[in-house]
Amino acid sequence: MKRRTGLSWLWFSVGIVYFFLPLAATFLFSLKGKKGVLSFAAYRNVFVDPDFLKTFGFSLEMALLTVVAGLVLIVPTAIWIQLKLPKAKPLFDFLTLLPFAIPPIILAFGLIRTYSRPPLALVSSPALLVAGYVIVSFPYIYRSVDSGLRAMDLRGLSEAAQSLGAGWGSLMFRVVLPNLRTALLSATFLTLAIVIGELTLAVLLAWPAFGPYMALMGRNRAYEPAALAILSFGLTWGSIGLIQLLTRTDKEKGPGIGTGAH
Amino acid sequence: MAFIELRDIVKSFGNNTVVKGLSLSVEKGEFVSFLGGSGCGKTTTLRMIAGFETPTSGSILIDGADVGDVRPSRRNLGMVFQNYALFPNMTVRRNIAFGLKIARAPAGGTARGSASRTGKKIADRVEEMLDLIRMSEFGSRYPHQLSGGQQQRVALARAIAIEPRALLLDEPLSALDAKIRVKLRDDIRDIQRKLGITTIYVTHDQEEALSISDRVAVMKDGLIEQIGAPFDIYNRPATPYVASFIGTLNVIPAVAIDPAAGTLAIDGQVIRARLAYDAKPGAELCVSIRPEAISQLAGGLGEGELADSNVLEGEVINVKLLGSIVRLVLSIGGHKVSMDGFNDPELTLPAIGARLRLLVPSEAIGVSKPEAAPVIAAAEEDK
Repeated sequence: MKRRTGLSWLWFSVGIVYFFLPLAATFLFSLKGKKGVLSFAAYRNVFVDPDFLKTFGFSLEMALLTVVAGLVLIVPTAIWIQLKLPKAKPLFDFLTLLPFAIPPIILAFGLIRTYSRPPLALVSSPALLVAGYVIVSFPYIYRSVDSGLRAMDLRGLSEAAQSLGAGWGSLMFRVVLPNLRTALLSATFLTLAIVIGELTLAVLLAWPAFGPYMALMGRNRAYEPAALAILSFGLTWGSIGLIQLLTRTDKEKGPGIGTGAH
Repeated sequence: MAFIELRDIVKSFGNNTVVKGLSLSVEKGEFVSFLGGSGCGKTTTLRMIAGFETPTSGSILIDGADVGDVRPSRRNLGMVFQNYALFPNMTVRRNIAFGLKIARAPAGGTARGSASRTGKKIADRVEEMLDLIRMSEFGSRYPHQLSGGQQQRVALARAIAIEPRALLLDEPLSALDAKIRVKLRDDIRDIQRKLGITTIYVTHDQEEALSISDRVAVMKDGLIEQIGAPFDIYNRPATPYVASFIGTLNVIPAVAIDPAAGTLAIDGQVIRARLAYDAKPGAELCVSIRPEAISQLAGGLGEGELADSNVLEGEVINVKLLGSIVRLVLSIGGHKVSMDGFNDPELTLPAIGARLRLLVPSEAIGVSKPEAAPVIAAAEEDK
């Protein structure tokens, strides 16, 4: 037993070193912006760069629009499939995997080809970028919402609400969405984390987003890209931490509430 | 006119017809149970009344009006589900208030019994309901902080808070422990009597159905086999299925000897039914005897007893303790016969293989043709 525990710790330590050593090295490198001393000079350079705020702000805006569009599109669809079309669920599950199978570059060219001429000349509109981001984040939103729905006995609750006089509006806003809170938060944060750093679609559709900014920095500077990498990690981990925190709060409140797919 | 009326209801799912032309009338204030095994169509029928399923053909009338096109949310029927279906994000109080708030809300609001309640009236009604289910101190808890029995009581309170026209219960006790089940079914019946609410109750548990219903509808293969008061269902089963489904009934092959005198032979042992029966001597018949009508003969028979009773001899093949009842299973000429007696600490249980003499009163013996419904003799006499 003792030997087994020792072995577990060994593997755990190997894992920690494997994941954290590069990160620690990157962090250390990012602090070497000034010769001979460790400082946050690279971070300062990043923050004072007007392009940083501009691109980050743009990506954040796009990410929020993606979250809204994605949730508005996917939540009712997932509910409808669960309640009215359960037989279509395997097909839908398969569709949600397509964004993983199709490389973003193919997606981007497909979008450009389809929407670059009338009557659907949308290639210069940010709506096309948001649409692309909705496709990219589709698996994450759908999986989160679906696991939330499965955890809450949607059919039982919707029938109970209907028998008490609730129409579809009351059912959605008083019963389904409050019980999906954690799943929706999971979907939101995962989408934010993915979209803010997205590179391919933003580059090919020519938008001044945060992903291309990071790539540009990587080519032209030494220490600032390391600082950006650490900031980007911080953003993703912060999102995951928030999901965990809110999930825990909801777990204390009661079971039957989806925790989303992470 | 009946309060709830089902007229020739048929329900098919693809090629599978689960309800096959069912008709039923339920009076106002009546407690009717649908009793049957899995797949008999009882839950589907209830869900059609609630509006969650649409009949393939036939019509459902509530209070004289056809509700075929009425959405579930507009039918004003309280429903209690097997898995409680309490809203996990709401406290007990908010669960009970849910339907009341919907009725008050102008958007999507339905014209319910006592619509447009003020907040104060809703709070009062919620407290009244909590009081009714004896859970006043649990109002601030969330569903997951309650036991199964408590959750189902809250579900019941939530369903009746809106003063529905009828209460529909879909196997509400089947997920609960035996002891809580008995307690809660009595509670349901008490509350139903107190409020006088028309109730339809679905169960597969015959004891549950017999103990709380005004009438029991025994269902099989999408049809009602028999509907009647629990006493009639138990004592006068109309079909072989009802007889075998309700309680335990020994149905033993016998041969007619003298129909006018009521005598028959079971494995060569002659017995006499109290009433004459209609058959030719030598005909193959069935004798029906409830296990509780049979007793063990300790000594000899008195003169008076001999005239009204029969003695059968059998070999003990199993002894089962069913709590307050001890059931002996005997073999008489290769046929299994059950005999029930009250459990008594002084009782000496017979060994397996022991031969016993059984006393069977003549009035407890029903005689029927093999293909017909078994006859419960004592009840037959009452007719």
